[in-house]
Parts: sequence; structure tokens; C-alpha cells
Amino acid sequence: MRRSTIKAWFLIHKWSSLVCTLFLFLLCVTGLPLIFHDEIDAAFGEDYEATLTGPASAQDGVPLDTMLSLAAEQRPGEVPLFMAFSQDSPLLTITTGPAPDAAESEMTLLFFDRATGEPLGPAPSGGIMDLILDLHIDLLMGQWGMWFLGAMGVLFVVALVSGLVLYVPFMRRLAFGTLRLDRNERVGRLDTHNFFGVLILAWALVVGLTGVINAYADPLTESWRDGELARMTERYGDAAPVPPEAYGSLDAAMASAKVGLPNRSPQFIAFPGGAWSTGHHYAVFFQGDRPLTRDLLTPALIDAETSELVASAEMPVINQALMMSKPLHFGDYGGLPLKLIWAVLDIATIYVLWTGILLWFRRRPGRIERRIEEIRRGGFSAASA
Amino acid sequence: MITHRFEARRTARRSVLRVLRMPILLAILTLAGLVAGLIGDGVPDLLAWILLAIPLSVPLVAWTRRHRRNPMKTKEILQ
Repeated sequence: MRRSTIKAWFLIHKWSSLVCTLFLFLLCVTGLPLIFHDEIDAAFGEDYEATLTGPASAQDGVPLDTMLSLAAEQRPGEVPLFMAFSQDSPLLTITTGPAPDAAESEMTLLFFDRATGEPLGPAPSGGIMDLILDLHIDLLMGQWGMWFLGAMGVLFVVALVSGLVLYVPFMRRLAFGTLRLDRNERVGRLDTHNFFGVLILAWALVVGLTGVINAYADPLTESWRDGELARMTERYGDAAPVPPEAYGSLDAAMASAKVGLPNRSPQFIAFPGGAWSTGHHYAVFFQGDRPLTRDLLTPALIDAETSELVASAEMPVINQALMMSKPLHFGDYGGLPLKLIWAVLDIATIYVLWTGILLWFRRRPGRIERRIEEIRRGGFSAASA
Repeated sequence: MITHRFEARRTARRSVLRVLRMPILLAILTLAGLVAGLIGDGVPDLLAWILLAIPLSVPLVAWTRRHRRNPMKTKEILQ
């Protein structure tokens, strides 16, 4: 590789890394407890998924209309926004808000036992895990924070790719896995940075890219609603949105949806007027039956007044990619061992970030040429080469 | 002539493919592991753990082979 080529890639690696490192530290540190959020939530709160007994709420239980009226009793004056089902327990959640298009911060999440119809109260919120999650998603800065972190994710991917490019000239004369910890600190640090960097590369690329996709999830859902969904429900045109008091039977709507998409399990129902439906429909989202397709949703659109099936269709490819990318970011699809592997890789990433910072910070003052020479010679000094 | 130990380890210039052979192998194992876990529960999960554990065990091997400051060892090599 020519000296000028190495120099260009070195500058790309240096600046893309420096800009995103601080935020990547934050993402890795907050991401670590989030890997185990199921276990942590279960340990510190009421683990309804484990303690409730009876048929899964996605399959059977007290009629949905009854569940909805129970929610209305708890939140008088509010309208239902979402109803979500569990595939494993009778736990059913209903989200309410002051208006059909209420912002997320105004929503209330209520827990119910669908086997008995017993209300379990609002979901605990405001805990440390919520704070960690919000920091991880948007730095507590809403939409702009989310997009900003998405951009940091893009830089992280650039840093990973440029790092791999620099790995080649550096390792030209070194065996894979060489760790020269017997020489000066810097050579050992270069070796560990390169070695662990290349080790976590594939995983870091996957988690980085899926993180970026997730950061831009809301605009993608919006474009699905305004494009595909609007076309599916064209004949409703500009008709006034259905007011909540005119909503038809939810049980009838679910029955219609199951005719449209038989043999699938419902994951959630989006009520009219929200981000996941139109002003005139219940959107019943069905999920796949494997980890691969668990987040792959297919909606059935139901007329919210008559509870009749209007249309059902797969989501566009880009939205499907978004949904499939979720487990690959969270690492929650292969039991506790996979989560532990995720945690080890997360800590390894922190270590690579840290050695990278040290390589930049603890360098001898000098022109960039010294860095280039270091990469070209694989850390060997000019005298010994 | 006294040769420092790590210089003895310095190999001849290798081709790009040779340099990237292990990284590519590890990346394939990692990606296969990530995908295996998605396919289903049970056996695919087990496969995912095994595939992903291989790259993670590489540092242990590298650590045992690391070059460390050890006068005794250096002497042995010089003899």
C-alpha cells in the first residue's frame, strides 16, 4: 500500500473515531445493562410474564372489548392507542393517551391479566433502566438526539472499515494474534488495538449498522404510513377520522383480521389516528413464529366502525429490514448465553475504543509521518527494520 | 549476534489475502453464529453459541503466546 494511501486511510480512521468515540463509550456502557433488561426487570419488579398463568394473551382470554372498557375505567377521558399481546403469558398491555395522535411522553401503559380480566396497574416507569434506555436511544434529546446518535453510528462504521484497511499494512510482517507486550507500551497497545479490533469487527459492524437503522426507524414508519398504508386505504380518502366513541367491536375486528391473515399470532393492535394506522382503521399487526420473523410484522387493516377487513399486506422491504434488524442489535434472540456473548463483545468494544484513545493521546509529539511509518512497519522502529 | 526475541518472530512480507485470512475466517464464524441464532430456538441457538464462542476464545490463545518481558526466557532463546 502506498504511503499516501495509508495516510488518507489513517486520517479517515483518526477523525471518524475521534468524533464518535465519546458517544460510542456512552452507547457501550448504557448498552451493557440493556442487554440484560429482561433479567433486570424480572429481578427488581413484578415479572408478570413468569407469574401469570393461563393461555397466552395473543391466543385467548377475556374478550378484548371487556379489556378495553377496563382500561377506560382506569384512564377516564383518554382514548386507547395500542393493545399489545404476549406470546407466552396472559399479560396484555393497553396504551392510552389524551388524543389519538398523542405524543409518546403523554402515553400511559396499563398491564392486565387477560386470563382473569384483572387490571395490574400502570407499568412502572421512571426507573434507572428507563433512563439508561433513553440515554442509549436519544441522549434525552428526542428526535434530534436519535438522529445525532445515528450519525455517530455511521462514523463508527467508517472507523471500523478504515481500521480494517489499516490492519493490512500493519500486519504485513506479523503473524495473526501477535501481542508484543515485551517491548515499549506503544507497540503492545498497537497490537492489542489491532487484534481486538479485528476480532470484534463483524459483530461491531452488525450492531453498528442495525443501530443506525433503528435510529432512523420513525421516518421509515412514517413513510410506510403515508405511502403504502395510504394506498391500501385509498377509498377512505379525506373522510373525517373516526371519533373514539364510534369505534366498533375490537373482538369482531380481531376475528376479521384472522380471516385475512390466518394461522398467525397477533402482536399488537394500533388504534386509529396514531403513527401505526390511519384515521379510519384498526391495524392488527401479526408476527412470524421464529426469532428471525418474530419482529417481522404484517398488518391487517380493519374498518374501525364496521370491524370489517379492508386489506392486509406485507410491509415494504425497507420496513421489513428495519424490523429484522432489531434482534441483531439487541442480542436477545438466543437465550442467556447469547446475551453473555453480547456483553463480552460489548466490553471488548470498550477496550478497543480505550486503546484507540490512548494511541491518539499518548503519542509522541511529531508529524503525521511518524504514525504512517508505524503502520507501514507494523510497529517496528525504523532502526530495526 | 544478539537478536531480540520479537524480531525473530517477524515474518516475511505476506500477501493481503494471507494477512486477512484469519480475520475473514473469524468474521464468517461470527456472522454464521449471528444468523444461526435467528433461525430458531434450541439446536440453532446452541450452534450460535458455539460459532460465536470460537472468535471469543482466540484472545486466550494469543495471550498464551504473547511476547512478554521475561529475562529467563530471553536467555533461553539466545542460547
